[in-house]
Amino acid sequence: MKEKLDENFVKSLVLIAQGIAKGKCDPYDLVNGAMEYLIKNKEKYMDHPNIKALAVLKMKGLFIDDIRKSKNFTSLTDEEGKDMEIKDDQQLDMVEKMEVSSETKKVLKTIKSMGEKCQEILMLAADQMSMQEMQEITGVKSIGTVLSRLSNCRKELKGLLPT
Amino acid sequence: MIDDVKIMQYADGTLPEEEKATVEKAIENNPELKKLLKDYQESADLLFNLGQSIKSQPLPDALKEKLKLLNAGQERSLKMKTPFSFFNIFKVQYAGVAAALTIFFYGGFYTQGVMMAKKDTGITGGKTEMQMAAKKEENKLKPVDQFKNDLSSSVSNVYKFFNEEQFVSDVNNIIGDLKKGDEFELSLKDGAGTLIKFILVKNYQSNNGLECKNIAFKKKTKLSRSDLGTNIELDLCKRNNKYQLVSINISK
Repeated sequence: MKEKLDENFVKSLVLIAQGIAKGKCDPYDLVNGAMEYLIKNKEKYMDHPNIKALAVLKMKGLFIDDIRKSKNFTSLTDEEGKDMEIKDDQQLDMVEKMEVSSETKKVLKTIKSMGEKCQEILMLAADQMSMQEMQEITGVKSIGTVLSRLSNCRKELKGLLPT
Repeated sequence: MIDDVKIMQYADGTLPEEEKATVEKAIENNPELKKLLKDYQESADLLFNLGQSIKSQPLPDALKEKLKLLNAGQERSLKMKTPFSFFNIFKVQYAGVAAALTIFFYGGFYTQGVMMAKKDTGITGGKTEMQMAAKKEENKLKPVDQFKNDLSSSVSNVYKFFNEEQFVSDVNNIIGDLKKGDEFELSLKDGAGTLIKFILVKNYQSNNGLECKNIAFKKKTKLSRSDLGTNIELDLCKRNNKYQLVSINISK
């Protein structure tokens, strides 16, 4: 089903961007960049079956570009092909500035303290994305991997939050 | 074998039907799995609430403008004058209800009213959003950015606690019996959880002859932590034998 391009669509991107920005850039900048891309490439995306996934993938691309430009990394994977951890030095301040409940801040801060894969998949889950969409965005090979990653990350999240 | 994924799927209600009985049985006989199930249920709630909470934040004006460009014809959009950005907040959150309505917003610190209208409302004579925006330009009624931001926040904050659908449904049950000056309560609560007291301010006829009522919140309502109190008035007009919300007036 085609995504309705309304404010909820953009707010979904803002939510998911929280899991992509990883403290190295402003999530809103990623959304802004993805929106600009969609505007400039209307003819390409108009028939795209999942515009949200397309926009999220663009945000991931923008994030990688941003990191590369910062000259901290030339690649986001190490020599063995494993994801490199990117030091989180801004996100907690950004969360503090948000006008959301203290409970929400606590959960968001906890997620941002987790590994990048967990940050990403948990924010996709917070957007109520389907497993298929999560697979498309995360680029993992199978739905089974998505389920496995999500179950591990949710368990970890619950363990990190005080009861 | 019952693994974590199965428990998570069971907690989320996404486990295939044919596997449910096996998982239920395993959970019943295993306290660890029971705990795991509870954790997954709680994490689902946490993530859902997180999503809702972040999505309840108003969008920055820059993103709203991008959205307009995305939805409009590209060339036309680039030439288009910027209409008031707060309109989208309302349009999205209450699109279904608002579709047939005309929305007015007033700022008490603003000398003239600002009218936002949609096509075919039957109340404004079918003026479009763009026409109205253009009219504002002609009349030099464009407010300063700060005003836009304040009003945008105010409108979105109203809708954090004001359930329009519920209000319209509840008020229609009693509105016929109300007289000017009558005070009443519905099931609606303000942001602090206090029942909202309303007062019927006046009965009047709209320009095109509809029977309308002006209802105000009896007390000033705090719309944000920094807000000292905001007056909120609602206008309802009768269409198809039912009163519909046609405007929200916000003033300091």
